Amino acid sequence: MRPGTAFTVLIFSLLTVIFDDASAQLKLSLKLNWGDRPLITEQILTDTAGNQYVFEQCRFYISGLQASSKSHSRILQPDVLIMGTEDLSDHSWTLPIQNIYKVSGIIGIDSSRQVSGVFEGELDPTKGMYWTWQAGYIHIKIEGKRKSASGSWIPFRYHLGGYRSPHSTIREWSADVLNGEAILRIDLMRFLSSIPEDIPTEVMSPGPQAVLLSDLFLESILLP
Amino acid sequence: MKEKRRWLIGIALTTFILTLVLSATKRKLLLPAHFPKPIYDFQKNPLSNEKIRLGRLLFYDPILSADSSISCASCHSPFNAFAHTDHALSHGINDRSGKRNAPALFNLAWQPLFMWDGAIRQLDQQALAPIAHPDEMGQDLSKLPSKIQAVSAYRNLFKQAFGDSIISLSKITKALSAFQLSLVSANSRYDRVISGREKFTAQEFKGYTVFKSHCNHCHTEPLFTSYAMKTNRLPADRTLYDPGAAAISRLTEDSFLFKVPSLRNLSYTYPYMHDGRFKNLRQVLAHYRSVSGPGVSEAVLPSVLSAEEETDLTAFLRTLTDSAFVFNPQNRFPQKGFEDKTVFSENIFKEHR
Repeated sequence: MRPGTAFTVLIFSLLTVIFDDASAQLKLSLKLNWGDRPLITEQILTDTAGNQYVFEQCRFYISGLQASSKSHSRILQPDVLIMGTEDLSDHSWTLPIQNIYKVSGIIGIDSSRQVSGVFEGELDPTKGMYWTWQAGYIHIKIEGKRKSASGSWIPFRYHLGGYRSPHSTIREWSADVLNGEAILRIDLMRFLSSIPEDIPTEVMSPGPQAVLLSDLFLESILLP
Repeated sequence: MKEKRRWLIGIALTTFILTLVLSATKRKLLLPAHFPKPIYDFQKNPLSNEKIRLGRLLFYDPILSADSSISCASCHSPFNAFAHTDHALSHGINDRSGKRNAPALFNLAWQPLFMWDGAIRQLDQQALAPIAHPDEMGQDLSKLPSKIQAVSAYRNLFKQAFGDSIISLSKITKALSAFQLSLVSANSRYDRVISGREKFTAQEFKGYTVFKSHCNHCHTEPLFTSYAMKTNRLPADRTLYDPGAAAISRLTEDSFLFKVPSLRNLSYTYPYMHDGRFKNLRQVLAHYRSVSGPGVSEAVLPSVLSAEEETDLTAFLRTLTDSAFVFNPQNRFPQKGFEDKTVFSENIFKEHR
């Protein structure tokens, strides 16, 4: 290799290292909405049809998190997160990646990790998002109560999961990165209002109803 | 200067030797030559003597149940090849009964499916099912690590097995798996014949021929199970109404499918079937004769099986008994671990025994 070429390669390598090391702020935020307003738990909320609800919790897994620039993609570490109402607010992370235009992943846990043992961290079964009786993760957990026509409050509990065909509830998701921030905005009023009348108020195992509710949850993600 | 260097070399050597002594002692699983390749991923949970010892203590310790009254061994007795003969159905805390017969435990490194309904596909994860089940050990999983962490002896044992004393569900289940993986049963008369050390009697050989014609499809040698999900046309129990695999998959075609159990050690593992309805082998054979016919699972006995053939078959099935495994003191209640007051403090001992 000629000295000039070697010098060019060296400079290019250094620039690449500098470029890769430059950590830009990438924020991934969750915004849980009730219509066009932020969701508030433990308070009476009314949907557009006049139905009343009290929301207790909404938690869900996102995993396989990947950031994409125009030239390449990178798996983010950690790539599994539990998001939801636990702290009644948004969740956000700072990630050492720049020039990213999209963040993507799945809602739920991939089938490989479902059968690969007992994990620590976000996948620890003590997090309350795991079914021991069929060794699988609860992808989405939504709980609260709804006021019936007679005036009594009926609890609803949707523990949605399942990774085996035909009842997989794993759903792909992505969000654009604008001004260094990706927002996952979910309208839970849209989710609850769209549940058909014949779906029971407790769905807590994999099956066709969990599949339908997971699709509705995905449809309640609002585009920016 | 020389003095300082000597000290440094001394410290380095001592550290090296201590590291060797204190680090977990690797242990390889006994792999019988006539067995297939195991499917358990040992890279994710390498075996060591320390981990197996810890797993054995946990297996026999009722600390895993909500009221510290039921251990894994309560339903998986070493003297029954880790099955349970006192009850047809598993016996849990507060005298609760489960819905299924506790299966025997051995050769688990080769097992791809767990539970009668095949719901669980990895050994470490399996342990969480009975621990958390309200009719079995009823333990709140979120509280289990701290419950064990409170026992100083366990903190030391986890440190020896995993390198640190922070206890998690992941480590608890890995240790339980390590002990269960060490339960290899491959020293029956059948195994000794297959490896050329002994020969079948004429009757056993005739029984082996009957077995290969009618049973081997599902109870495939050398593990004596295909681990497939099959129906054997047992009428549904009207009180339990257990739909088998369909309870998990919600698919009609999975109705009444149950995992094929191994026939190894069947002399010790009665009662039989997923709900323990048959007390002896004669009843099992009678059932298979009664359901033979087209459209049934492949493995059924022809209704014309003669009494002599049935006797021969039974003689062969008895060659699957591995008494050396069943009476191996290494697999039993670890008396030393629980009684040695230097390992478990007296209070903890009283609390949990």
